[in-house]
Amino acid sequence: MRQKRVRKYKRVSQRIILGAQLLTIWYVLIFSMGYLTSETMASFSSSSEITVKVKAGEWWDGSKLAFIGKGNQNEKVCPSTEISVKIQNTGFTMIGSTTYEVYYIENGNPKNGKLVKEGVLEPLEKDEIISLSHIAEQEGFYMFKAYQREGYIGKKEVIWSEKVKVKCKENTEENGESEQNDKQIELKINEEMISEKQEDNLLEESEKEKVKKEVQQDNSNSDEIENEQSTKGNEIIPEPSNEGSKLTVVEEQNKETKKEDTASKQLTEGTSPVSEANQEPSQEGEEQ
Amino acid sequence: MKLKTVGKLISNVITVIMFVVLLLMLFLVISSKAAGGEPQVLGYQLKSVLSGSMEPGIQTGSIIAVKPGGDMTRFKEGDVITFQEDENKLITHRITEVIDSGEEVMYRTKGDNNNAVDINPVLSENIVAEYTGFTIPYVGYFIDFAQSKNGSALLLILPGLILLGYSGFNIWQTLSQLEKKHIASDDKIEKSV
Repeated sequence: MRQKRVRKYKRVSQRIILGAQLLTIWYVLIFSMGYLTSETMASFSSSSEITVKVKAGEWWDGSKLAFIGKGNQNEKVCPSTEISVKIQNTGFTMIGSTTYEVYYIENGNPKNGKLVKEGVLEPLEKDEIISLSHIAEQEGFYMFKAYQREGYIGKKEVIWSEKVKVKCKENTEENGESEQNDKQIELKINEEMISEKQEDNLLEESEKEKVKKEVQQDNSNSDEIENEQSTKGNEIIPEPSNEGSKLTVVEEQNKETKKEDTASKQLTEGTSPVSEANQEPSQEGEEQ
Repeated sequence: MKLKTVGKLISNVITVIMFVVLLLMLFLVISSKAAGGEPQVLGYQLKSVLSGSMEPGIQTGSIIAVKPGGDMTRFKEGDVITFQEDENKLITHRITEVIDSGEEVMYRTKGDNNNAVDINPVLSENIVAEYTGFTIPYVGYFIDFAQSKNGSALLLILPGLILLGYSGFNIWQTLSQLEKKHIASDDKIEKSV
């Protein structure tokens, strides 16, 4: 009896001792592992280069590009020949360059044609006119496309020049039919352009009304601005600020609408507008 | 009978292991304290890796052995070194370029998993050790956990409590058994009377 009891005690104490031993091993392992690596904060730095572009001082410079050629050019010369269109900065001086492209199509609207040239349009002074040229290698229709400066506020960020037709004289005489077709196509394109412009005019008028309202709400300076607006036009604003640009846009748009109206009339009547087109820029120069 | 001998054997083995581990720890602590500096095992330092800038060679959460000491200008391109970036920050990266300016040797370093070299080149005197390729994965996570508040609570205190509870339960059980027998024997005595 007593022996049994003693044995039982022994078994219990043995189990407890075994557990204690395991626990000790566990503690010692954790401690020594921690001890070995505790003071060694071997951290790995991970540096990565991040390029962040901060746009500073980049805003629309108030420039407004416009192709000033009226009507379509008709070059009766065999390729290759140099064609050119005139472009004017009717807004403020550009602070950076922009791009232009030349599109070509054998028959039809060059807007749907293929891109044959890309170029950089260097900054233009206020009212400066330069001509963009391209060596036409093939007979057909060419059109220049120019992008306004980045951040342009206005309707058309992309502007198209007049159409330039390049056809050999001999060919035109021989192929009267094709010429007729071409003329029809031209007329179509003209109609398209006129309708586009009319849409623009409508939009611009609504914009104009908005701006006028804004101006009226402006208590202090409204009268002055309006006066100056009517007299000086573009020159009232020394810097391209938001309101200012709107105002100038309105002024320019007024002019343009008138011009375009006359131009469209001319086109529909079928008179040759080239001579007048050449005169107009000089007139503008005098006005301003 | 066989079961008993096996049990005895296991308990003996555990006892031996315990003593070995204790002695090892004693040796480790004393030797590293005597040598000064960071604790070492057979001339190697153990570092737990806390970021993945050297993956896949060295995994995050692994332990690496680095060999300190020696001529710190001996390294060449492609070696992996552990160096001090500032007082409390050790970094292990690979050398991409050795810049020998005559008087001093500097190393340009880059983490294998980083896309760019480190900003500052490393002076040879800031190098602590060289990585020799020995690494144990995941142990670093465990050690990191063991040294955190929750980890030490879970790994150190909980097993102790479990053992206490276990022994307490055992003692209570035997005591209650004894009491029962006591009562039983008392009854017998009474009946006999």
